[in-house]
Amino acid sequence: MSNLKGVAQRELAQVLNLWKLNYRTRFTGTRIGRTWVVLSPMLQMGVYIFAFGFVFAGSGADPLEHVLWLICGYGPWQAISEGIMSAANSLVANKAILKNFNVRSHYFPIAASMMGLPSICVVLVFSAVLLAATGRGVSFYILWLLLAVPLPFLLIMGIGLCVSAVVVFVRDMVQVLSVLLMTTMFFTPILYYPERLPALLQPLVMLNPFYQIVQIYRCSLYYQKNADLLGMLILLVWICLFWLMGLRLFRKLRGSFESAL
Amino acid sequence: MYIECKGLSKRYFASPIEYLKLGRQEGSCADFWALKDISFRIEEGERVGIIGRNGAGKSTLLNILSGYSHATEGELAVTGKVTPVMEIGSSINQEETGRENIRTAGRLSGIQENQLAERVQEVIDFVDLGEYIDQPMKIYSSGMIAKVSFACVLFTMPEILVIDEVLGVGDAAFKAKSEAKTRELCEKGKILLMVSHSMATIRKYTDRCIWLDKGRIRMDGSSAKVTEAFELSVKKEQESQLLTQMEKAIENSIFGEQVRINQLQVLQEDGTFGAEIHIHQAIRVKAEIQSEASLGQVDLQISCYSLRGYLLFASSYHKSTGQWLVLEPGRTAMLETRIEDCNFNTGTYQISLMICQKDTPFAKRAALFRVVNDQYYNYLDCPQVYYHNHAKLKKLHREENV
Amino acid sequence: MNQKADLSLTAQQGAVLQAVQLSKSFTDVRHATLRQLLGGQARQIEVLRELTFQVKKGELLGVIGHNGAGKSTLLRLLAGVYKPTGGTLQVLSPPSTLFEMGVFLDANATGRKYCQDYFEFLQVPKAKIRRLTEEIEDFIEIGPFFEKSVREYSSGMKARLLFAVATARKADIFLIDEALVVGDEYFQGKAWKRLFHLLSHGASGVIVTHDMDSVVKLCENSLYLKDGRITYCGKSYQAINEYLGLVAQKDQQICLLNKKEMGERVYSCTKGGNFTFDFSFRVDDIPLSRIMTIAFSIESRQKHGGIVHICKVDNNVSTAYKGVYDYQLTLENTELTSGEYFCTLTLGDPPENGEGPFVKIYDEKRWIRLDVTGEMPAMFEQEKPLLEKQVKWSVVCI
Repeated sequence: MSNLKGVAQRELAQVLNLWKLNYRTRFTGTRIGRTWVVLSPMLQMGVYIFAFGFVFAGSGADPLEHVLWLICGYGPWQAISEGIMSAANSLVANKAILKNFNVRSHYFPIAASMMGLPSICVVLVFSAVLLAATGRGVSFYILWLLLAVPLPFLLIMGIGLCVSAVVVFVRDMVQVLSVLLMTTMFFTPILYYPERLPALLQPLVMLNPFYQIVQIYRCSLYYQKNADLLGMLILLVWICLFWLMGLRLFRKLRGSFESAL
Repeated sequence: MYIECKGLSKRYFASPIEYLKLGRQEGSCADFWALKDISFRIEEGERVGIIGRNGAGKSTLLNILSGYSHATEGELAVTGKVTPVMEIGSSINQEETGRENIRTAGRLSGIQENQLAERVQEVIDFVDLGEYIDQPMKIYSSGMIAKVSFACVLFTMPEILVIDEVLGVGDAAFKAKSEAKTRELCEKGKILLMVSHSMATIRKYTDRCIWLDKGRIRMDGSSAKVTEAFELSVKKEQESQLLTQMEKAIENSIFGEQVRINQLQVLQEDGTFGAEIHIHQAIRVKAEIQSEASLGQVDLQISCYSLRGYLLFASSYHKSTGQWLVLEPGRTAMLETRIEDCNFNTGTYQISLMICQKDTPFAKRAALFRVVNDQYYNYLDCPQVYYHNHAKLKKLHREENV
Repeated sequence: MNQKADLSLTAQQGAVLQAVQLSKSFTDVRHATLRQLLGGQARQIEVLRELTFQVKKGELLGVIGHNGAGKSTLLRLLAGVYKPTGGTLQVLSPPSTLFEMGVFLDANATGRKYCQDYFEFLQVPKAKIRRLTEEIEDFIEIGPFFEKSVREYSSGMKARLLFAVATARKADIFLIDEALVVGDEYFQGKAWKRLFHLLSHGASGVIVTHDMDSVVKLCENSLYLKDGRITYCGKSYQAINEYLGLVAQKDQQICLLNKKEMGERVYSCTKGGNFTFDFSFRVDDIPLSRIMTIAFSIESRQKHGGIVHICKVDNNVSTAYKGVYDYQLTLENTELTSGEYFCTLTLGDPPENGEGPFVKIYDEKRWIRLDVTGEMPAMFEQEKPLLEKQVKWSVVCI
């Protein structure tokens, strides 16, 4: 048992190490360096918020409250799409390390999946500000965040494992993924209310794991009620499916990574 | 066709932010002259080598001559097409195969489509990589990439061929082939510029050599002379460092409490203390040993080390004479040894005397002496010992040739 | 693979690395479909076949061979970067590696940052990283360039940095790939010194190189890899003979005869005795000066690496006619201590000043084995001197 703990500790340390490396090397050579880590997600989110919160907003609702609702939705999505794209490229981008160091290949997509963490942090900070500004305040339901924060990363890791292994051999996958993510964003009620979806697609919304994630955030911060248990169950099933497929793909393709990179 | 430069200089400017951080210090990278005042003229048919330490400015000079970067000051006139051999190494497409990359290089060199296939095959035959030629270049070793880089030279008949260290990387078969090819190209009367760290390569391929030292031309002359001077300067530097180390080591090595070696001197054959022994003379070593305690039977060991730390010879009193030295308190022992026929090469050596009993050292002292050899080897990696008087070369007669 | 049990066996034998029937194949990704890859049916390209060898503690094993023979792949296998597709490999401790052209985790990093990134990646504690970086800065002597981006380094500077970083920490096993070839003589000297130092303190390793001089200097034993197989495993100079034997030299003005025999034969002489060496050469093209210098030098390999050039005798001979010449060289009363030596026979144009290195070499045979037999006194066990000189002792007590 202690052996397992030691192994787990080591694996965690390596993953964290890689994650730190990603950040250290990402912004060298730029003028403001590591400030971009926070500035980049903030600016991106800012654009969407401005566009959909003020410019294209429906009439009626208090703009600040609408912005809060948007942030709870778009913020996690940004983390997810960043995480998935990073994970997809993680093996190819790090081929220098893979071909020269003794590192387990599955660490890369897992570490890259965490690239969305700053976005989540920005969400939490902005939400705190807005909750205070709108007078909504914090409620007991904020404890759902304890699930809301790790769950998207688990999902990204699962998807990341699947995609990164395939991308090594089929580089086109990255392009496909980019389009898929964009499509998914538009067909998931993040920037608009679910009622606006065509009637045919409305029942499918429940099965959409990204929607479920967004809902947990909204429930804990905006609606301030209990999250939907069935929804979470669906999300957990998706996570397990992706992890199983990911690990399987890795096991089968791992031996050929060095030949293809 | 010629290359001529006058007062060529290259300065690396720092960005304003670097100035703020590092200030205008001399020698900091904020203000740095990579080349200063370079002037020479190379005519058609000359084969010139460029040597110098790391950071002396060789690559910078080649870059400017090849047109990849520009000088800050000075004039440069180059007539004729410059072909750097490492060009393709930096512009290969890793995902494509060797064959495809060679074809691209061929097209870039201006070969017409109808001749392309034939010329590409020529290069592939020269490179001789077997089935690897159809594998992506990302799996090639640096030697293989160098082979391909070099082989692409076959596409153009270069007028000014610039070779930068590429002949050093590669297996023996490649070395032989590239040597032959380079010789062929040189014989066609073009200009050859070669940068290398291997003096042997420079001596082999070039007639003239330019020595760059910290961005300036230190020497420009025949390859034999310049390479020799370069090696000598490296050797001198190494030796002076080693000498300081050795002197320090000698100071620290003196020890001996119960027994002391009071004096250790190296004398010439006739007994004068001059510390300079001529070759084939005998070396005499004198030492005075004083003991405070009664130690019984001790052995004396003498060793001689060269500057680089090689043990040249060693001898033990007991082994040589069968006797032991018995030390008694208050008594002094005068030791003298004689070593005939000092045939060491010119240089500084260390004689070390040690008093020991059953492998435990009790006292030690060392002294330096110099050997002067008028038949003198003075190049890098020259031999330690002078053996000419021991060697005889005899020609045997063969019936057929008479 | 029954690793745990075998590891202790390896340690018992004094080996730090053991490979048994080690093989590596790569998947032919270019011609395989994704389905084939998933099913494990893609075509495999064999790169290394059934390698069996051992590296003992304190030993540096050389690996030589033509390009494409699989040398770099072998090193990566030993480092654990690649996993073997067949056979077993046991390595007693994680090796420190230095691969070709190095790995730059961040292309924009400065020299200092490269060191820090590298050690942080290997999870070295922060205080140690600081100390190591300082040591590296001292060692590589590139001055202000240490704070500049590695993009601006010359190849020599990069080589220095990579070498220093790879050998900064004490490791039990080093895996080095071709890195010592780049760089000037001064730094090569420093690099040798550091390697010797590591070796004499019990480090072991494997080094891949094309530089035949390096191989003999550093390694007592070597592997000659050809087409992925070990064609020869044994003494370095013998491996080199095998390797160079394949390179034919045509169209020589003057060439030595019987080079193969000279390479295979072990000459011997007694300590303090005479040594006779017969050789022949053929002149196909009379040189202008009609003279040639024949040089015969003797070198010895030191215990932990390094070659000492002991002596060199040269003579000028006339080459006035075409044909075969036979010569006999006699060395009298050699003062060499008993042991193993290497001789080099060189034929070349007389150097300018009458002495110095050859400018033009017609032909040369290196690594001719010479064994000096005789009793070796016990005091030479620790450190063997180059010569055995007669020392006359006289002690007077007053």
